[in-house]
Amino acid sequence: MRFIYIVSLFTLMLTAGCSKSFLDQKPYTALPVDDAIKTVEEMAAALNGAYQSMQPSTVYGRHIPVIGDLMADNVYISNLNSGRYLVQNSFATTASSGEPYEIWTGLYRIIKNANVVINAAIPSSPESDQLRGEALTIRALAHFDLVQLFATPYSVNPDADGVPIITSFDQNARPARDKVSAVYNQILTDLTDAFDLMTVTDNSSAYITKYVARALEAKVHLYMGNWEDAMEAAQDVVDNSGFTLVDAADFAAYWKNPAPITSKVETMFEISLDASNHNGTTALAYMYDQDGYGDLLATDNLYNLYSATDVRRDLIIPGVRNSLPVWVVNKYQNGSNPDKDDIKMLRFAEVVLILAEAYYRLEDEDNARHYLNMLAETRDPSFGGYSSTGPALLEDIINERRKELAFEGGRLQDLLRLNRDIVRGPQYPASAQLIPVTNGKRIQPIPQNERDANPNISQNDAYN
Amino acid sequence: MRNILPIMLVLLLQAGMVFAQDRTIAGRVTDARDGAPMQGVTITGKGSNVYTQSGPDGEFRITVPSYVSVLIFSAVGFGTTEIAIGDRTQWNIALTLEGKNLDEVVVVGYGTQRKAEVTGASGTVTSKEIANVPRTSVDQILQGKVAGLQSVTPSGQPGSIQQLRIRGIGSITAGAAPLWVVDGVPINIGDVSRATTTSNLIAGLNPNDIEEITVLKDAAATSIYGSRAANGVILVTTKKGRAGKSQIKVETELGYADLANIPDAGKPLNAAEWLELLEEGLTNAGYDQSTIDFAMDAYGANTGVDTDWLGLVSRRGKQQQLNISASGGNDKSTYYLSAGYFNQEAPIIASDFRRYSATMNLSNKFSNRVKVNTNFSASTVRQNTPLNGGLFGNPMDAVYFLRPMQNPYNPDGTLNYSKDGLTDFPADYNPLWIAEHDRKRFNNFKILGNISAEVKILDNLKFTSRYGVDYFNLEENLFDNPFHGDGDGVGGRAYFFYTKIFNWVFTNQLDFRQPLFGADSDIYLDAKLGYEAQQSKEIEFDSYKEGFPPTTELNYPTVGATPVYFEGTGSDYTFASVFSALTFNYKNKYVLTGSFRRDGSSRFGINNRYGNFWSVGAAWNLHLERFMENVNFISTAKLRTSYGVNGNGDLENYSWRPLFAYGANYNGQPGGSFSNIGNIDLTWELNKPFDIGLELGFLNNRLNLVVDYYKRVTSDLLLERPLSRVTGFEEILQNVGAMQNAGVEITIDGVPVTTRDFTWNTSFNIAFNKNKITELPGGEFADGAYYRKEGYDYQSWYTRLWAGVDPDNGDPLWYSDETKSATTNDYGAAQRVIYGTATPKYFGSFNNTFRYRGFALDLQFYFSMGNYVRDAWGTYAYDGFNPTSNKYKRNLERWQKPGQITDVPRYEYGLQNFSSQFSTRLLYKGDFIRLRNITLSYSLPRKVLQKAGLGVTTFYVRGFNLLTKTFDDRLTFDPENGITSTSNLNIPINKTVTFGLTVEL
Repeated sequence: MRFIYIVSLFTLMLTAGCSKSFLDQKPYTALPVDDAIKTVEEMAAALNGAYQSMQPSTVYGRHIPVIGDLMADNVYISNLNSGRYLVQNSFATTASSGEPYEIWTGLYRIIKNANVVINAAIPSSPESDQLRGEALTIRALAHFDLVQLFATPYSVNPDADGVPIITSFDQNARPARDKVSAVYNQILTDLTDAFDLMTVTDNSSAYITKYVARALEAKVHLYMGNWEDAMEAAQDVVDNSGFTLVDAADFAAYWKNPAPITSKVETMFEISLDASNHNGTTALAYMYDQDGYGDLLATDNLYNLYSATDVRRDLIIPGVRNSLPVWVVNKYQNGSNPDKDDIKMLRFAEVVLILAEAYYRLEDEDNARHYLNMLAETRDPSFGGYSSTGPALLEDIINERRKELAFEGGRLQDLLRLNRDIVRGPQYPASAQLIPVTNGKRIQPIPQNERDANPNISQNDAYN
Repeated sequence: MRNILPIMLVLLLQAGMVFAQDRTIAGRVTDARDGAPMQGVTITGKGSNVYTQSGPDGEFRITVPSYVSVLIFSAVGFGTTEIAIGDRTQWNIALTLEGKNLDEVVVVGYGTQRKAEVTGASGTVTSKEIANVPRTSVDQILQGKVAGLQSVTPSGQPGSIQQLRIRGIGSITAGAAPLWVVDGVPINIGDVSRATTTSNLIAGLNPNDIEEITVLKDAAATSIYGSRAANGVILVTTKKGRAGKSQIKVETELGYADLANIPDAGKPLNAAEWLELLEEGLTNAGYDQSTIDFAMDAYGANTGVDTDWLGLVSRRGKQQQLNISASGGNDKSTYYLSAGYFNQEAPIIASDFRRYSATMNLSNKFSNRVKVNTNFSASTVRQNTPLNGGLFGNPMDAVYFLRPMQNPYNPDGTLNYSKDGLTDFPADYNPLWIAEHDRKRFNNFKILGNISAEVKILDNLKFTSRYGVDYFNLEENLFDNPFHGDGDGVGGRAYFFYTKIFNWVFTNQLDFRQPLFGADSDIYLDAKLGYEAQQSKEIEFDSYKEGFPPTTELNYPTVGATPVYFEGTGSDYTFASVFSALTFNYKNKYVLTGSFRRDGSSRFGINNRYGNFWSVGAAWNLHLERFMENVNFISTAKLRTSYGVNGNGDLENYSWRPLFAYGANYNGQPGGSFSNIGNIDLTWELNKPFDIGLELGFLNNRLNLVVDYYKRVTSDLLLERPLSRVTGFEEILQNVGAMQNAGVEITIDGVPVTTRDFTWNTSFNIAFNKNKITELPGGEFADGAYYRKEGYDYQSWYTRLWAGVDPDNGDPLWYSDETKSATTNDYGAAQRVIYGTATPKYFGSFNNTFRYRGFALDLQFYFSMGNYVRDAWGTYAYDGFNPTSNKYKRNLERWQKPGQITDVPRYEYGLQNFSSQFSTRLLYKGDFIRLRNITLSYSLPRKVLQKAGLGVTTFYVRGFNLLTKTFDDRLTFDPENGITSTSNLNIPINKTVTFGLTVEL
């Protein structure tokens, strides 16, 4: 009898705790992806996740802006360095180099996050349209940087291999490269859709607003050589967006400020980095800060472009490194502040310069000079303005772009789209002081890891 | 020996005298396995309170009242043996232990089993091999103890994780470490550090509290652990009290730890050598003389400073332990109590380990049918654990990245942390300042405990219910001072991380044993049936602040001005299982076993949540056969084999779930993202081990041989299949691959010489394993420095073939491809090829113990052969690629003039020709033989002890890791570098010399 009693007790114990929920342990910080986005508020949270994925140093947080200046003629790596970006400094990138891989992976991660928002099953409403528009702009931006970094410039050959266009999630995708022209068309489609969907024109500069999409459209057209379209879009932004250039008097304070703004002065869109979400020692600022790694220094020939009365020259300060006098970049000054420097993604000044160049290309030199001088005279109040014409005017526009956008990662892209040799000067390694247009390493390799996982993707010639 | 013994017995019997009231029985106790005299065996007159202990030579003498008819012999690790005294007064207990052999019980999964009935392959390590070893955790002590158990140190940090693999590496992505079960409770193991460098979960367990470790290797032994069994199982049995004499044991040792092995080739340069390279390097790079003079001056050529950074960051560390235990009991209750203290300083500054531990194991019989056991141990570990790898705060990084002209001191003798010039610390930090003012420390607290009740429902049916707890918390504190180092840029910073893991296991089990067909049947049946539930819950709190007050004394986040983050999260898993085992035993000759387990786990995807695991085994005890009767030289012979199916459920807790994770916040607003691709089909890896083994005992088991052949086939291997990165993910975890490990293990032990005064015991084990990937559905791929390819070892290196240096111009050369038919000086043009593996082909150990009277000399050699180790930091320490760091001494052999034959290229300042990038130049032969342990001990003679009123008293001096023999002159570090055979500027392993004393009271 007792035996039976014990055995039944035991059987009871066997079955107790066998309930399904005991084996269903839920994670503490995550939801099942399939029902994570059911409301427009959750869609907004997913969009924040997409913005957040733009922060890391492997993408906009450092790699992309560094390569844009370093692989051009604005900054070089000191001989006393932490070992970072040495292959970019000497144009010795290989398919196995870390940075191209991290940029490639990181930009497609941003696209995946944007696609979650774009494709969310949330019906159209002013709120969800705005969110979808911001996500479309993010997707366009990521594709734009991919195609610029990893493919032949559109202006050189629109039929060259571009990068895969990704508009929805497919874990089995192994796409071949879409043509450069196809990628640009997709970017333009996304940006025009975004402009149409978005309604918000005034917001914190940490978020994308309606005219950000329009301004990017102008930039994309400029890179494609669609001068008319570039002019129209840029003019629309200048006339209707409400953004303004920062005054010379406020210029220093503008760059010192680590926080997003709502004043619509200068910054159209920046990636916010604050006390709790920032890149620490992997930040862009840490590469320039002489109390950080401080490896990146401004070249003499860049510094010499600025006049003494140009407020922008104050962002480059004299210093000593490796016992040599050097030019230290002081554009990012909040490395040791709790609130870190935001990453400027789009400033009004660039739109003004796009407009100037577009007018020049359309042979309207008066307007070209007008907008060029609008910027140049704001930055240097004692400057009387450019009066150049013809090719000299174009050179002035390109030089003004270089001075204005230095250390924000745009210089390489200018030289690529203009298809010019990169003349780097004596502060670079002897083997990499002149990078002619024929040097295939001006564009990045398709990462070896991508090639290993995706046999359909072709390599850029210089890396085969 | 065999012939003398009976004669001696007869003589002694005749000499014996019979007293009316009391009588004296004398004799000698020896270990049945090796014939060695056993000291410290407690001999009790059953039913009386009379007891004694055997002396160092194994001899004993006890006077018992006339009513005592039975003597009880008990010793830790040997159980209890009773003998009926009869009329004899002389008992040589080799007989007794021989008699025990047949019925000897060994520890197996979920209980014990008669040795004759064991069909599985296992190895046993006893307390005397584990106790008083100057290693911080028992997993380190297991190195070389059991054939086929690979135990490798990835770091010399005291308290570091140890990497164990049984019968090869059985997994690529999931865990490959064995399951640990302490007193019946599956526990969590591994590295739980989240802020500090390494924290070994098992390091809290005091090895001196362990009675026995059983390593289960094949299906018959492990499959009862189901989805946790694939990588083998390590059963730990802690010490228990025994009825009889109360015994107090004091064990203490004191010594020191030095660097074990820094090869000459890997030592950094001194100032003159470094400056010579600088000057030559700048000249070769085409700089003019004024620039060279300027640079030489800036780097401190004229300062006369010549800092030996290796000398400065190394030291002679202290090694110390003290263990006190008390045990005893009576027929109803027994106890074992202990307290332990262990302290080890690494031979590198700011690295140490300290443990306090206590154990209380109690057992009480409430009646003949009900027994309750409680095992409880608690410990606290404090560890200082410097950073590793290329982090500037790592003292070993400083050794190779600081230049000898950098001055650690200011003129006034204080520590220099100026960043001004190249002779100060503009980049890497002054390690002396960091060691003094930064903190990388943790404290942990661990409880291992269980309470169990055994109820004998019937004489042949037992019910056991056990609730076990494995509790662990870890407090990690990192502080980077505001003046110099990692905290400099942010005004000082501190992290405080708290981790708590509560793991409970509830087991209920029925054990049944009886003859199958009536009492006098020749067939015995042994059966188990059980249910087990386990839940492990981990909680984590992290806080981090910057902006610290201008002092180095306050190390906790609260005083910081700027909160950077405060995080709180957790991670849990559960298992629910039923298990059973059956044994059929026919006359002890033929044994058939089987096991079955059904496991469900939260770690398995919703589509594959439950799995069934089983094994069958057979054993044939040949020596009991009639045809073996006349084969006198073979005393025991057993043939056994097993096959089964088990699994590896050591997956990340939530990896199967496609997840949208929050915490991806932006601009102060909550954000989430599709962060884990997941796979709802994801489940355990399937492991199918086959084993066939032969155990032979010769000459009355004076020589024993165990040989096993095994092959374990692992399929449904969890593999991170690389995805096209355009998906937004880098890889997806799938059950897709297959791999196999096959090998042979041989263990030989014997007693070549044994006389009354002198014995020599020897044992040797060796294991050969061949690992092979058999299925990679995604195709072969390069995985970092390895290449994963079907037909090849999982850890096959993949790199360019180094072809030496061009004698004409000093250029580095690589072979263009594996044919080695052409060379190139273009790194990118050389093809990568598969070259050797990181896994040794064979390893094992050779142990000898010589005893002469009270003296004993133990020698253990450990060897590991056939792998290559990768110098992951040689890129910086060779050639001019990173000209500002220090360099290996080998750079002195650089090419200097045309025609010179050397292996080290021309030294050119800042040259980016990839000469020091990964190639076979940075792969060294990993073969080594180490004198793992040499111990000389002396036990005081019995007469002296009796006068002093002491039990067994032993003095010893022990050297650990004293000698290392390697087989590649190019080696720049000790070749023992973890399973992956990759250096990471870790704290180098140490050698210790300790002086010890053990006393029984």
